[in-house]
Parts: sequence; C-alpha cells; structure tokens
Amino acid sequence: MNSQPRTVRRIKASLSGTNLELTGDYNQRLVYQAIRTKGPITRNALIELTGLAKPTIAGIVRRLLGSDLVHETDRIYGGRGQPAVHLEINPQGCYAIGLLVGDDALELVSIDASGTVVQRLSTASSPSSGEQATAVFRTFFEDARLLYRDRIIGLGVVRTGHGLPVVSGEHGIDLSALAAIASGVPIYSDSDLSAATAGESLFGAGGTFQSYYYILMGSSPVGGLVVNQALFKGAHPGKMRRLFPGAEPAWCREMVAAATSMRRDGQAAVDCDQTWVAAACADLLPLLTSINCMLNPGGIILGGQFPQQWLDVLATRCNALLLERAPHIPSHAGIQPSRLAADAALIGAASLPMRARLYPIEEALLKAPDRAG
Amino acid sequence: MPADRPPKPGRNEAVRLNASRNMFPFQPQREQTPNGPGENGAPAAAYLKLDIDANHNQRVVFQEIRTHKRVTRTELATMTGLTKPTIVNLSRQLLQAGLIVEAERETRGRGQPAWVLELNPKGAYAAGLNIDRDHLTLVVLDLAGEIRGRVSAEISFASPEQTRDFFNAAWRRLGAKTGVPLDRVIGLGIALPDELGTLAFPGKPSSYGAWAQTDVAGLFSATFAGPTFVENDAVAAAIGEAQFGHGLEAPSFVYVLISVLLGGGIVINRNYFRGENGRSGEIGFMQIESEQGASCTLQEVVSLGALSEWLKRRGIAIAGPEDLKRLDGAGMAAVDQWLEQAADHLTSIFAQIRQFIDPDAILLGGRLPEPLLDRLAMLCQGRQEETELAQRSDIRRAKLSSDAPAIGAAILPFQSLLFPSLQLLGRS
Repeated sequence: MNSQPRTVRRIKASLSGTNLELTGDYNQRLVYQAIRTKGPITRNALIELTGLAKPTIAGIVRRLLGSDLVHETDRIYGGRGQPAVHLEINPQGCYAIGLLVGDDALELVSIDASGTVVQRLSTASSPSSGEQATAVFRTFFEDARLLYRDRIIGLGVVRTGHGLPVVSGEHGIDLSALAAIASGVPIYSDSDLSAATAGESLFGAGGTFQSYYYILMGSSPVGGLVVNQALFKGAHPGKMRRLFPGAEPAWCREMVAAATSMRRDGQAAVDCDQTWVAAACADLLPLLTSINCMLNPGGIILGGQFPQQWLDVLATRCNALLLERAPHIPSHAGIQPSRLAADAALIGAASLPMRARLYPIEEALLKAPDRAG
Repeated sequence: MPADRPPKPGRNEAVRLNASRNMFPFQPQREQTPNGPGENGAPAAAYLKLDIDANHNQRVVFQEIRTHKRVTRTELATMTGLTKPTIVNLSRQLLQAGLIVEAERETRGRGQPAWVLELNPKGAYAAGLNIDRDHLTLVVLDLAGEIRGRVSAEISFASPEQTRDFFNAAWRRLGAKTGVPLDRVIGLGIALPDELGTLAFPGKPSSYGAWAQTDVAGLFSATFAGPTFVENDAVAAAIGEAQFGHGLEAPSFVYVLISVLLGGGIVINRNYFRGENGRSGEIGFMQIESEQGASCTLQEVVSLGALSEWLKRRGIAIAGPEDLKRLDGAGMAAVDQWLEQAADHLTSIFAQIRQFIDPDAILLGGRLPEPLLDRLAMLCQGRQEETELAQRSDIRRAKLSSDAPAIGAAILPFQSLLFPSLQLLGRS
C-alpha cells in the first residue's frame, strides 16, 4: 500500500467547454447529493430534507436541470391533486476517470454519475516506464473524450503497492504529462486509502454512516476513520501507516496472490480455507476490539485487493468472534465487506473528482484561501 | 508543493455565503445566487440558517480574540476572512456583552494607531462539578480558564443527596470567599463516569444504584437555575484540554483519564468525536495481556483502583490519591514499579492507536498526582522512541490534569454558549 501523495492536488483548475463555469455553491452540492441518494424526489421533499428555502431549491434545481445533471421523471399519479414532479440524477450527466498504478498492472476506469463503470482497461503487466504508462492513458482518455466530451469532470490518480511512483519527472507517472493530454480536466492525486474511502462514501455503504472505519486490505493493510464522509488522515499524512507494522502478514500475501491469479488467468475464485480465516482473524480481532473501544464507529468496512468471497467470509467470522471473545466492550460496530470490494481503490480513484466537485465537502463550505495549483 | 497544501484542519474558519471558489461543474449560465437565509450548509447532510450562521461568525471572532490575546480589527478580518464592517459589527456586540474589552492603542507602524481588542476574563464565569466514586469537586472558572474557586471533598460513593448537600455548601462558600459574582455564572457543567450507579465496583454500596434513577441535571436546580450540561468525565476532560490546554497546539489528540477506573476521549480536528453511540474513547476496555499471560482489560492494570490494589498487595494502604504524595521510600519504590509496568501496557496500546488513528498527541490526565503523571508520560515517550515506527505522537501530561473533569465540566457552558463548533452549524 502506498501512501505517498497524501494531499489532494488540483493540478489544473480551468475547464474548457462552452457551458462550464466554476460557480455553484455548497447548497447546490447538497441538493445534488440529496437527489442522488434519495431520488426520485419532489422539490417539496428536498425542502424538507435540506431545510433550504423554497426559492433556493427552485433556483438550484433549475440550474441542475439546465446543466443536465438531473432529470425530471414522469409525474407519478395516484394521489390527490396535481401530481408532483420527481427529480432524479442523470447518470450520463457527468463522468470521471480513475487511474490506478498498481504492482502488476495499470488500470483505468470511467464511471458515470451513478458510479457505474462505463469503460475499463487493464494492462497485462505493469508498465516499465512513465512514457509507456502515459501512452496507455492517452489512448484511453482520447476514447473517453470522444464519447463524453466536456462531461468528464476530472481524473483521479492513485498508486498502490510498489507501482511506478506518481511524480512529476522521469521515473514514474508524470502528472504534468497526464495534464497535457487531459487538457482542461482537473487532476486529483491521493493515497489509495483516501480514494477507497471516497468511493465507499459516494457509491458504497459508507454514505449511510455518520462515521465508519475503513480497512483497505492488501499485502499490508491500512485503515482510517471516516467522519462525516471525510477521511481523518492523522498527524503524519505523508507517512505510511500500516495496521500491522513490521513484516507483511502471510495471510495477506496469500490473499493478494489469490486475487492476482484470479484476475490475470481468469480463474474461477477458490474458496478460502479455514486455516487462512483463523490466521486473519487472529491478527484482526485485537485491532477490531481496540477500534470499537477507542472510536465507537457506526460501522467497519473491509475492502481492497481480496476476492469478494474471502472478504465476505472474513467479515462474517470477525463479527461472530468479536461478540464471542470481547463481550464486555461497550460497543460493537458491524463489520461488513465493501460493496466495491477488489475495485475499491480503482473506483475510488474515479470517485476523487466526483467527491471534490459534486459532494458537499467541508472545504466547499468554509472560507479559506484558494489553493489552486 | 507547499502552495497546494490544504489549510490546517480545524482552523477557526468563518463561513462565507456563496463561496465562489467552489468547483461545482456545469453552470448553464451565471446566475445571481439568492443571498437569503438558508443559502449555506454544513457537512454531511446538516444544514444551517442565516441566524445561526451569524452567530457562528460571532463565535469565531470571539475565539480569535480569546486565543490570540490581543488583536486589532484589521487582523481579525485577515484571520477570519470576514469583511471589516462585519468585524466592526460583531466586535461591537461582544464589547456590549462585556466579553471583550478595548485595550490601549497599538502604536507600531505609521498612521492612526489601531485599537486592540482583548478578552475580558471577568466577562463571564462557569461552574464545573465532578462526581466520582471517590470524590466530589466543584470549580468556578473565569473566561480566561483560570480557576477562581475550588471546593473538593473525598467522599466514597456519595449519594445523590450527599452530592446535593455538598454542592449547596460549596456554592455558598464560593460566593462568600472568592468574590465571584455568582449571577455572572452562565452555566453549570457536571462531569461523571458512565454507568456510575450500575457498573460493578469493589466496595460499592447497594444504595449507590440510586444514581441510575437520578436526574443529574435537575439535582441542583434549587441552588443554580441557569443552563446545566451533563457529560461523561473523560469527555469533559478532553473538551477542556482542547479549549484551554495542549489542544490549542495539537488539533487531534487522545486523552487518557486515569481516575478510579480508566477513561478516555478523542478530539479530531478540534472537535470532540463521540462515536456512533457516544461511547468513543473507552480506552479502559481495550484488551491487553496481563503479567500472568491472561487477557484482561487495560483498566484492570492501569487505573487508580489498580494502583491501590497493587500497593495493598505490598502491604501499603492508601485512602486516596493525596496519600500517594506522602509515601515512604518503600512505598515510592512500589509506585515506581507500578509505573514501569503501567507504561509497558500503555505503550502497546498507544502503538496500536497510532497505527489506526495517528493523533498528534496522547495526553495523560486524571487524579494520579502530577509528578506521577509526568513520570508515566516520560516513560511512555521513552518507550515509544525505542520503536522503529514512523509515526510518533507527543505523549505528555495533560495541562489540565488533576481537576480535569471538573474544569472540563466548567468549560461545557462556555463551549456551548460562546465558542464556535462545527456541530453548531449542523441542524438536523
């Protein structure tokens, strides 16, 4: 797991295209997310949900409709009086691209506004140089731009494991080269954990919690607390923070190997054996106990490079064992596998721009110096 | 790329309506955004109204004056990002309320010297009461966080009636002896452990269960009629530390409260993090391996109760934490041994905390005497430095340590009525 570029960086702030303007406000994000998660929804229900004034909602909805980010559905008949118009998001309203630089492959994905994967590419092996990676990206991006044009609202770049570093320079993925190809599209680069939590909050189970703890599985698992859909990065955001310091646990290596061979050779998933589950639980239980005591999160979510079935088994087993072995602790948060599972970091990468530009994040609320790069 | 770094989290940032640095995509045309009430919001599906917003900005201005000691209105405008007329307006209201005063003019620089604003410590007072299994403490703080009066009694398992009598007597004494105008006490905070009446505890009389049926907030209403706030003792201590202690330098920290049992609290970006059901910070229930190799909870080996057991097994009896200051050589050696093994246990727990949350600081407070807390913090810090870990937290004694729950309780009224918080922006 890599944690090098911890700060979200906005490489380019300008947007091309005729109908794009950098305005909009926090409430617009709020209303858009309300329509996304609660839609189809009426304007009146939006007023009730957000506490915003009727003219405000009317104005925001008009802007959202005008820019095709939301649609009006057919009127729903059945009640009395004039039937109300319902609003829902337009999945084709905007797209984001995610680039994941992994140990053994370069993965690219385009998602639409509902988080559905619409385009996907994975190289058979890790690119040997930054130029090669840039070339792969160019092909993918040009295809995407033909299809979605100025509806692409951003590119998220994330590195996991020992993949090529994401830097500006010779040895790695050159962000400025990517910016030159994707001219006008803002680029967001962050850690795989940040990306995975962004994806979980937007398109997974995370959105239902006030707070949750996310464990990103991999050869060396990392984790973080997400409060109000924002990852708390800790006092040392630039440094690697492994959940199991020291050697990579053997059960993690086994699981990553299984996931890799599944992906590479198209093998059917093998079931995990009991020895593996026992080893994983032995490491995880003390940690889960402490997280429950210290943080009392609403939920604990497991995601990452593990086969989905293995995560399912692991979550179920941990839930049972925690109740059995630590009955005295004041709270037990349910442990569940991420719905994005093995794609957590990849979809997460594409979620970074979605979060930065559409989600009601604190940065959009608080006045702060503009930090466009 | 330092210019790209996000601002330090938790800064006192003012809310600006219609923040234009936003990047919400696809605006069909630039519209005049309505600038009315409700045109702003707060994180995670929480929303705010303009009246609360103005209040928030007033609190932000007050907070800047409070924490920066002496500031001019121009400096305030720069710090908060609010406009000069807004600052002028808000500071006038604060002056009228007596919360701040205008000090002498700043004469540096050219031109007309500017007025400097500073906190008026006597502008408001708050009372804090700590109820625990072995003592009762009442303090009165002024607005600068100074203790203006303190009354404490070592009473084992004080009943609700005893506690009310203690409060009434202590309140009268504070009024008579300290010169604090009791009518300027804006609120009463009460800090007590969770499950005070119900949790099994050695020596607990059955009558102590009465606490479970007691309305703690209403218990003192005959003496004090103002707003009352009830909070967990460790939470109160952590909030106090965040507002008046080391929290000013460490935006995120874990507070460890060593009292009869072991409690804790966690502050993230200057906001207390309560968890899903208000049970975050339960460090006492974290599991460790005891000397015998069996699994036990941390508070069974690290707490005032555990220390007194430890001493009892060595033939030394103590009645309260005060007795720890009067031990002879053998007693001191036994305490030292205990500190060593407590540090071992804490070190493994702290290492875990750093891995999964990575706070700026871990602060030790509670009823252990300050020299012992200092020594314990030093031992933990030393053991931390022996490890190879990349993350280090600053481990030290909390600034508010011995009376932390009582002081923290007194800060609750200030926090709720005067200080800014993001929760305030929320409206469900």
